[in-house]
Amino acid sequence: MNVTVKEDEKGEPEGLLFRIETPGEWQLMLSMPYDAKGEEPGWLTKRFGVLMDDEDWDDFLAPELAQRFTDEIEKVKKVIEEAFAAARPLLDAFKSAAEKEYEENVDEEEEVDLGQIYFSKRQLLPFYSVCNQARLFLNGRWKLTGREEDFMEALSEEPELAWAIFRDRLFCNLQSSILQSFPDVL
Amino acid sequence: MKCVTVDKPKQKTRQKEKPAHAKPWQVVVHDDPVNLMNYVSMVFQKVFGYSKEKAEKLMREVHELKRSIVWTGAREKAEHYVHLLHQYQLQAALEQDS
Repeated sequence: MNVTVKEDEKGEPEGLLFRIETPGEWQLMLSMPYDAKGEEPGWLTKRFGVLMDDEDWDDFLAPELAQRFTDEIEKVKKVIEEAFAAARPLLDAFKSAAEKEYEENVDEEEEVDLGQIYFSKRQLLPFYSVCNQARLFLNGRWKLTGREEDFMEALSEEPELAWAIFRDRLFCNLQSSILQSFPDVL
Repeated sequence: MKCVTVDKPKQKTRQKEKPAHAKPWQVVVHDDPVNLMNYVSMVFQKVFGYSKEKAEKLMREVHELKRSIVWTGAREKAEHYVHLLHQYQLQAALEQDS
């Protein structure tokens, strides 16, 4: 995936453009909102609730927080899914070309354009947040801390773990790109 | 820190009345395996208005000591800060100064 800063007419950064180069990258991006949703509604708010010993927090702040996280996920999901829909013709063409190459036994290496996802500066904080929610879920679900080195081994023995490590790393890289390109994102 | 999602026991412990000699409350941030160090530092600057140097010092404390007291003061304000830190997905908690 190629990440570039998009600038406005005055040369000011106005958003980040994520150019997709493989079908697998689409799969990863599409999975992000689902990772962020976790396995039960409000899972992240509950996790914060463990730290709070306060009924007001449960009654007033937790629902607001849960709604905020849900809204962020829905916004980001919409952007990614619309971008994916727009990229479908490119993906179909890529698939046809790949099948033809296989039939003709040729192997052509070239840069592939499989579409793009654009987040304006205003959308970057929710996007960062959803990356974070997804990573918090993956780390909790798969206990990823210190397991990055297990990736190669997991590929053959625990593919789901390997896939989780891979998603966590990608989402972390996306977060780094956001912070690096837009230090004022908050 | 461990990543757990569990229901906590319901406890009504909040004291609405504040005695004059009430001890101050602390906003504590715990380490977690996900939040990026520069992000944590940026959040401290944004939420508390800390300088970059102070925010980075506190961030390093969180990372190295696994927790840091990032603010101390009145309960109401401390609660507000904790709420903001949760919005930024930091593992923040409220503790009374011992």
